[in-house]
Amino acid sequence: MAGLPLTAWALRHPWGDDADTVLDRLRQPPVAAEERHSPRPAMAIAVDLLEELDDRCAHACSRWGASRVACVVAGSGSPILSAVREHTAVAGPLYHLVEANGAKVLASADRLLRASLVDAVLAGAVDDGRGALLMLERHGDAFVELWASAEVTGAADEPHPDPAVVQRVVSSVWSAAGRPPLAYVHTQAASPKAVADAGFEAGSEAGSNVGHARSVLPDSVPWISTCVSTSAQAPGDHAIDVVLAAASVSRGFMPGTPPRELEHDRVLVHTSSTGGHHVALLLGARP
Amino acid sequence: MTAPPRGAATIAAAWDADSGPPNVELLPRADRRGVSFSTRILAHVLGRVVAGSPEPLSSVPWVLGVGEGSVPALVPGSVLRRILAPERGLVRVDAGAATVPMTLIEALAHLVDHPAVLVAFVADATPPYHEALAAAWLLTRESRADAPLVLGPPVLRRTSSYSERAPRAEHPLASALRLARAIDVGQPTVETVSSGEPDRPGSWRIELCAAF
Repeated sequence: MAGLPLTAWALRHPWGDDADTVLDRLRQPPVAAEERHSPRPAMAIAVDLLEELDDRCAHACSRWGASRVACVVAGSGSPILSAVREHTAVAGPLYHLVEANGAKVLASADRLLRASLVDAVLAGAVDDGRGALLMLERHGDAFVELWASAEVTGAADEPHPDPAVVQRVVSSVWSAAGRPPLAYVHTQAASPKAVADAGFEAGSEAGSNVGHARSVLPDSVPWISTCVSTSAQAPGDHAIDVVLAAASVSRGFMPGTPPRELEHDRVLVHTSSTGGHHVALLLGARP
Repeated sequence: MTAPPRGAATIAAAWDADSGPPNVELLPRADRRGVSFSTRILAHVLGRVVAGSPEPLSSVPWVLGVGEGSVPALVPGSVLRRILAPERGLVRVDAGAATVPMTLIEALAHLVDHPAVLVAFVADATPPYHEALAAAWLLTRESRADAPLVLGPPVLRRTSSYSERAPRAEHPLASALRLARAIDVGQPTVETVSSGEPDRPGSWRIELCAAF
């Protein structure tokens, strides 16, 4: 099975406007995420992101035909879709996944491409204050690819991930992609308070709130939380998490401190959101 | 590249104001009083699908089309979600006027991973469309079904202006109601739905055709 290339991405975060800046910031002492910018409206952020991705969107529309390029978003859906209509030539399916997050829309994009319903998807999530968009294509020149995705729904609104549900979603990914050795699992923090309670810091290895899910994978695989979220349910944060995971594969280093080279070129992104929805994405370097 | 999937459409149900009081037997008695009307009509249609489905709805992904501009906290179904416990993922699609074709595209995409998917639509009686309605059916992979009707991917047709397609001011989910009724009686049909993009006029064509 071939991976689907992530041909472009862009993010807006209080720590910076590109993945490298945010990853570099994770190597410094922990600070509040809002240290740099005051929140901006989702529409303004979406326009910013689209301007940054303008060339890639135009290239995808030219290559595949505008009607074969889709856009799937979460977060502040209507403003993002309006911005996409106004600022790009994308003319394929455009829709908003309600109560979804940035990882879930990537899973949706993955299915749309594997089903041959479209040839490229602009996917992501933007909230008031932050967000990220990624371009996923059928073929293309990219260092990082999406190898598999899976979704599982557990009991709604659990305060912590149910290990059985995590096991099911990871097993689903394995059934699609085999069991490649992983560099790390990129997981979101349950909340800033949970981060503090669990005793781990931004960019450090995740602690007890994912510890019970370790049974799914060998102990040697670290679970990393970038902890850049201000809210566990902010869809834009999860899109940023996907970008940071992809960027870490591209850089060859784990997020956070101390700097460690990736031992393997595959990263599993795991998120959970409102309603007990769990998503797993397997990202990796192009072979 | 493989051909886009088509789905066999089976076991459909629909509810609108002409259908009489919704049947909420699917809901536990303790929950019946406290739920929203949209949850009640969704329970009505899902109850019919549950009764006819060869497999429990918990074993298929759910794709739910919701009314234009739905506020997440008001989206119905949490009680139903608890009762029917979908385990394969639940997606809620909002695309304004194009919610029906976009929901169908999202549902068809699920068939690459799952043999069947539940498609449902629900809207409460809220402005500007003062009609509540609900519809649901199962989509299954064409190869494993003996259903008489198949649903292909909605196709977008651009028009030079809105006047060419004589738009009607109708409920954005009305086409879902008509599709459910057509599936229920085994009648092929074609629905044309506005893309909802004022600056780029066009319409989505949804074709429910005979399997053979």
